[in-house]
Amino acid sequence: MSMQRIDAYATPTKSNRSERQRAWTRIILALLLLAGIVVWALLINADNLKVNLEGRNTAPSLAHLFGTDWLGRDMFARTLKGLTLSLAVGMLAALSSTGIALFFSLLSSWNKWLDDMVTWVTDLFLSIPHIVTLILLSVAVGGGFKGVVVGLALTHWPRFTRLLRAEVLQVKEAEYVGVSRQLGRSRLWIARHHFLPHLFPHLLVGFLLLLPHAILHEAAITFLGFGFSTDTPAIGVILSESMSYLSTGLWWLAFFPGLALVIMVSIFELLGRSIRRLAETSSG
Amino acid sequence: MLEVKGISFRYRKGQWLFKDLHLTVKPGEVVGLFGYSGAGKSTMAQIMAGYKEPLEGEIIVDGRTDYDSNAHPVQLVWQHPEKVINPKWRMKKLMTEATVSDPAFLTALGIKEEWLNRYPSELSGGELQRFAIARALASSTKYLIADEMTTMLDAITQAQIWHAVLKLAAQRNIGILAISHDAHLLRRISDRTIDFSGLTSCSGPFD
Repeated sequence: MSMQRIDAYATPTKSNRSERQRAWTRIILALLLLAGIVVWALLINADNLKVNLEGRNTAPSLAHLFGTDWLGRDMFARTLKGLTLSLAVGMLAALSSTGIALFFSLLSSWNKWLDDMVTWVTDLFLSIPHIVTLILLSVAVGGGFKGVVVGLALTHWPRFTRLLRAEVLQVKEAEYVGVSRQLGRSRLWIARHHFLPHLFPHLLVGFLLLLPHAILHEAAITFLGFGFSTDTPAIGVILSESMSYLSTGLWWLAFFPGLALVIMVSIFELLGRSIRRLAETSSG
Repeated sequence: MLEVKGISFRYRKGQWLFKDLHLTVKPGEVVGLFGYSGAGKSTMAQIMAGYKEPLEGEIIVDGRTDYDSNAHPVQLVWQHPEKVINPKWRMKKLMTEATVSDPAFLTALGIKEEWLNRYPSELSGGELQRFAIARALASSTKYLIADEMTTMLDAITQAQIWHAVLKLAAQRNIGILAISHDAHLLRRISDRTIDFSGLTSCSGPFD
């Protein structure tokens, strides 16, 4: 037992170190790509998005990388705008969900009754198909930007809450928390100083892995017509509009925006996984 | 005076670990408690320091039994310091958990200043145990229970730590209950030693 402990406390091994280096490389690459998308989208002005009926339905070319739609709008510009909108909505929703999950997990550490309540509400939400709750909430709030954000925020916390709750309950039983209590430290102090530092890596990774979920769900409900209104350049709107033109051979209207969405989601997955890898191999 | 009045304990519906146990520790006194492994010494220590509730009997500290929301006047030093120190904290944070601020006091325990900026994983067991003791000797502490406090340390560190603890306890008139299965150590440090099996009518699964 004590020998193993000494081994575990030793400095990171060589393979461990190169693992961390690779994780860092992936994180930096992912952040650069995401920053690239945002900056590029900010550089797009209204000119690129305006209707140009002379250049309707042109296939992808150097002038229009993703082609143009039935109103002659540049699809590359629309896609980038859509991606940043999805990103902003996803961020807001994932952040709120993380907050809810954190609150519930700390609440469940309070006493048995609150723990039972939190578990019950979590199970209740998990028992209904995700997309159904999402559509119901989004419509109930009134749709649009507000509807999407509220719907996403209120439906992405249950799984995350389960994870955080397990972590909190584990730390709660740790002997160092018992010592803290006997030294007269309050529950709030213990939550702030013992639970939070332990939860922090989980919060960061969980938030980043929630983002792709939130983004895809945003696109999904918008595609189904319960999300953003049709004048917003959201990816979901672009995809659902392109459906009526697919049969006439305008494949680029759906292909490139869809591909771009998948790529952005993958970048977030990569970021989340790499940071989790870093947290797992950290010696501190 | 720290009085243990007829406490009994068992885990769930198991055999009684001990029944009707009586024990007193006076301020400034060092009591050595000897007992075999598995006899229930550690469980008794945890009950005395308020970690567990006894099924019968009570613990009276200086005539009081209510010390709930404040720091407990009886502090326990555990056998394994790495379990009672949050691995994510630097050592200086550990020292803010309890109200100990006298730097001379840390030096007396052999704690070096550069250790304060380290994480627990960067210190040895003996070094961590010094911190655990420093924390347990918070200003509100009246009695200290040392449950196999130095069992996992080498003889030299053991001597150093006990030397420092006995000196600090004498200065502040703290009563110590030293629990160990090492009878030689207990004879060296204690004013009186008692045998755990003599304290109670039924002691441990070996009976």
